[in-house]
Amino acid sequence: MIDGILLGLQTVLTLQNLGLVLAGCAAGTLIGMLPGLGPISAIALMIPVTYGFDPASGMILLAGVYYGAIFGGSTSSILINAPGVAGTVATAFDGYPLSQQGKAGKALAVAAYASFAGGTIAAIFLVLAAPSLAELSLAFQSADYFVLMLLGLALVAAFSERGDYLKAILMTIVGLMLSTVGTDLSAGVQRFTFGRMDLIDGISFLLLAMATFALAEAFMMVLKPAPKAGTQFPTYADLSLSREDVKRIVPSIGRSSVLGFLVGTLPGAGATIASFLAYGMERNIVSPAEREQFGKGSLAGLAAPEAANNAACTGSFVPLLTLGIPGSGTTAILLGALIAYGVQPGPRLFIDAPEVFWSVIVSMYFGNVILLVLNLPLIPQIARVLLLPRPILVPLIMFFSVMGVYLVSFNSFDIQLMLMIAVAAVVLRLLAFPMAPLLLGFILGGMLEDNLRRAITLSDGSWSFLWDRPLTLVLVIVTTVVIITPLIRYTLPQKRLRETG
Amino acid sequence: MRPWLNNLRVVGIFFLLVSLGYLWSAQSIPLDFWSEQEAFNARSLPYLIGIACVIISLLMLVLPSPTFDWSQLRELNFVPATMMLALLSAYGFMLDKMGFLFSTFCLLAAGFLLLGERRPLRILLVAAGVTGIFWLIMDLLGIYLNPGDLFLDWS
Repeated sequence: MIDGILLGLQTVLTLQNLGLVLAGCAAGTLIGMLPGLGPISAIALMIPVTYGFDPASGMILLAGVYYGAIFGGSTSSILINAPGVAGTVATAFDGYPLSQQGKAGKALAVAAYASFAGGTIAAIFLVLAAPSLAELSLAFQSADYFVLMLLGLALVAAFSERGDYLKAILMTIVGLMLSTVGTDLSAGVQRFTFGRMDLIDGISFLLLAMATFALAEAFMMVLKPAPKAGTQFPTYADLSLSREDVKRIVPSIGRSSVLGFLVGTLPGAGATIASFLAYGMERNIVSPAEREQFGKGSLAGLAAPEAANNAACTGSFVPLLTLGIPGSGTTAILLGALIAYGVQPGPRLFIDAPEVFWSVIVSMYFGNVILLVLNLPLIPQIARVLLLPRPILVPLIMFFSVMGVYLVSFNSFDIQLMLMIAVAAVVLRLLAFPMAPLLLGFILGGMLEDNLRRAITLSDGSWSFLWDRPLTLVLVIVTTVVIITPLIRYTLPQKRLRETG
Repeated sequence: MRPWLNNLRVVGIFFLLVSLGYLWSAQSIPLDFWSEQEAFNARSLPYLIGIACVIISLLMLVLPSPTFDWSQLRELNFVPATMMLALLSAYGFMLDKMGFLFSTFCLLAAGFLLLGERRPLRILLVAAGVTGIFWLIMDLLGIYLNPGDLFLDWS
């Protein structure tokens, strides 16, 4: 393990890579701060930049962008009550009241320290857990992978809000459908290309991510009139914390980091659920006097979700790095990037490309450090992006998303395809359908098919592989329960509601 | 609209039709003699996905779900959004014909104007600045951006 960390340090500690972490954090903060644009959009917008680098450097940059985007989301939550990311909604509960009381600097500092501590604790867990998990998962066969991927997809839907279960499942399936467009690599036949040359290679994941997130968000900004709030900008010269403040937040940070990491490792859960859970848990644990303050500017109430969401971000790398299965929209797009660099995450990554495995872990940690040392003092400058008027901002976001895709393929058909997908995404969003499951389904589609084909071929064309081995059988049972339970829950209470009223 | 026809059911009906079309289209995926004998071929996963989509869409139609407030959609700014869409689509066509510099400048300037920016100096400066800097960076990175068929013909 120490060897691994040293190997990671060796990769990260070059001038170029340190520069990339720095650039990634700054760019991520900038993009994440913009309302609506979260880590998925930020990473999608930055992927074209990384194509010139080797996989390790590319991932280092993207890990920086990821952390930066989360931090940027917290900043806009605190300063203007407009969370850039779902994962920082809970940050606004106590962060915004603090900044209204003229303590924006203190709130930003608490957020930064809590994020840093959450990231650090989770990174330690990751270093301890990932290698042994990776070794364990070497025992997994195609059949297990197939069922695990189904489980991952089902969990994303199961963790969504109660009424959203069917929506999330449907979006996952639509993502799977889109993944079948293009040439089937095993037989070399074209599927659903409708005779178009442009579709032979299928839809690129970057195009899909950019269309459903960055571009769709820009269109949503045009569609929805800008909220009036946030026109006045708070001042925040003082970034310091008193000893008493520190004493108040330390226990909250510790508890929330552990909770955040554990929630993050579950496929489908992730930063949003972790931050809400941590906020709820903290409110139940703290002293009654402190509880009074929750929602009115409690430092513990701000520190808890911040520590949890950063810890969950790190935790979500566990299934990605050990199983090669992304648990969230953000890790799905990171997986897409890795595959584009020619790296297949999973248990083999740890053995075949340890420098990538370890440099991702180490660079994530560096991302945390940089956020604290460089981003925090620079926040007053970076936050000026919030003053950029929408008529200027929106066309720029649209231009960068279109260019990001065009510069990879140099095919202007991609721009039209992107617009079609973006329109569909906007309509689905307006009808309250989630987009992250679509991305996840799309990215897992190809791997799902490969593993299913292998499993069926190995068992001579029969589906008996689903129950032949105890491990697979257990996974099948868990997956079935995860799929069926929300369906039952979905129908029952509403029926009761209708009977009574 | 009728209360029965909420957001879930509209999308459910749409994807029911999509999945039927998808299944129908999956039947015509070309297979050679050997693949046809195999238990798992290029049509297998599309069939499974299509069937799953039919089931979920039907569940959305059948299962009870809350009503949807359609009136909230009326307050959206559809006109500028549609115009931005048309502008971006035109940009896609212009890129090949007019080249990067001219098309991008037009896209940005028209976009700023469309979304309500009224100061001409700001529009021109930002549009020209972003286009120029972006082109310069691409040039430094050695990425060739098409100057446009139209201009190539002239030179």
